[in-house]
Amino acid sequence: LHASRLFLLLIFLIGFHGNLLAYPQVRHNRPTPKEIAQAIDQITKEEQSSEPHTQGVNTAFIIDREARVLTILHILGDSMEIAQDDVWRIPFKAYFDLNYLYRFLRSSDIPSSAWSPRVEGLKNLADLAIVDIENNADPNRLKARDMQIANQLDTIYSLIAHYYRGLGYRVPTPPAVAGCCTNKIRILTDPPHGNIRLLTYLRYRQCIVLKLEREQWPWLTINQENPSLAGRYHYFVTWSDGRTTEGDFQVGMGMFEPQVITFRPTR
Amino acid sequence: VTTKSGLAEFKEVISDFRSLTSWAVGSAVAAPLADLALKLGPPWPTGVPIITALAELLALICIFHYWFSAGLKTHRRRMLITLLVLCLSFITYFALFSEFTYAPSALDERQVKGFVLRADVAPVINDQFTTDDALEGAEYKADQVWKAWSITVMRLTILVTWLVLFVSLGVFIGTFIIAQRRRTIKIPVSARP
Repeated sequence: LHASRLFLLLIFLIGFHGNLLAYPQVRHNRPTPKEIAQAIDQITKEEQSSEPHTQGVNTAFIIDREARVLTILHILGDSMEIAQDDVWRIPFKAYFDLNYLYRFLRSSDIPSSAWSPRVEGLKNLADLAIVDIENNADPNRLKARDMQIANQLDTIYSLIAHYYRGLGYRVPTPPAVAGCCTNKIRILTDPPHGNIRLLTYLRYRQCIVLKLEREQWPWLTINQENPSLAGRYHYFVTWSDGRTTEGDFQVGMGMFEPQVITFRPTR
Repeated sequence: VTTKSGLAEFKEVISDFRSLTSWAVGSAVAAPLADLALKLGPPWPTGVPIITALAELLALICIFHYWFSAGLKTHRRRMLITLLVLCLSFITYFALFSEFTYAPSALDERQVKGFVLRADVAPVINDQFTTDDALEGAEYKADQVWKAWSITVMRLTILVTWLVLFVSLGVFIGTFIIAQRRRTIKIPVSARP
């Protein structure tokens, strides 16, 4: 009896010190084909009048026609009950975004001719991801597909923001995006095919103090299309005509549109 | 006067502890909730609420096992000592939290800094390039700036200070309740109406 009272007291104290029940419950079993079919069905059976729901989506938009403001909401945590490492998450999540975007865009002022091809492109990518999974595709192929889906979503988000800015709407930059310590960055060169080398700023300072030759510097290997970067970096770009550009840049934490860093030769 | 067992005393005092919900919860219990709402708890490890609860429970058991028979004067002295420890650990914890933890952005989890710079980083640190600049230039990875053992020591120091803070709070309240019970005037059965 006493032991049970002590146990209850322990539970009482733990309950106060941390809301354990509030911890997210992650379902580790994959969605069934039926669930995926239901998600797909939702897209075609949407009622135009209802508000698009934001379950499972990355980003949502609120149009305030009176104040002429487009609010961009980053959904922190996607409320999906599928484990992060489950491959079915890729198409399932894409269909949630598709569901939302179809409903939002149909009720928006943007002409369907502008968004329809891009959203169809997103749907095709989601379908291809399903085919990939069913054919037991290589994990790298699935990762690449996931990245394609993310890029396609980015182009749709940019289209929405760009369209409303064109109409004179204010589109405040949301405070942050999810993710710890790194941001997805799209790195481009103008003209293309510049050879970019990056170094964390701390390493750069160390190389300068140690007077190391540039070729000995521990350059970062950037082999992804959208690398995750955080903090301050030093860059060195070699152009096809032999010119070079060098400098520093800082990656801010949390911007809405994927940050794009474009390197151009110094005039 | 009847003698009570330590466990009986413990049960009664726990009952008192619960009956004082209005203020005990406000002080002993609501403060750790600040960890959830304000993210003021130690960034490491992940199970801090459970560890804190276990430490508080152990402290309460120890009080009622070893201290329940002590006199009122002893309890008063212990309360003063506990209050002093509580105040010191409060100041120390928030000083450490402010000085030795960081979050790259408002949404990121806080992380712990070290206090001994890595040998390859120390030469570049000066007034123009501080440790915070170094952290930013190292993708916010503390182990790229400070020696790993100093980060571990700081994590443990912050955790221990946090535990001392809440254990002393629990001990203070527990001792106060025992002291109040000692002061209660027991009316003999023969004198009751």
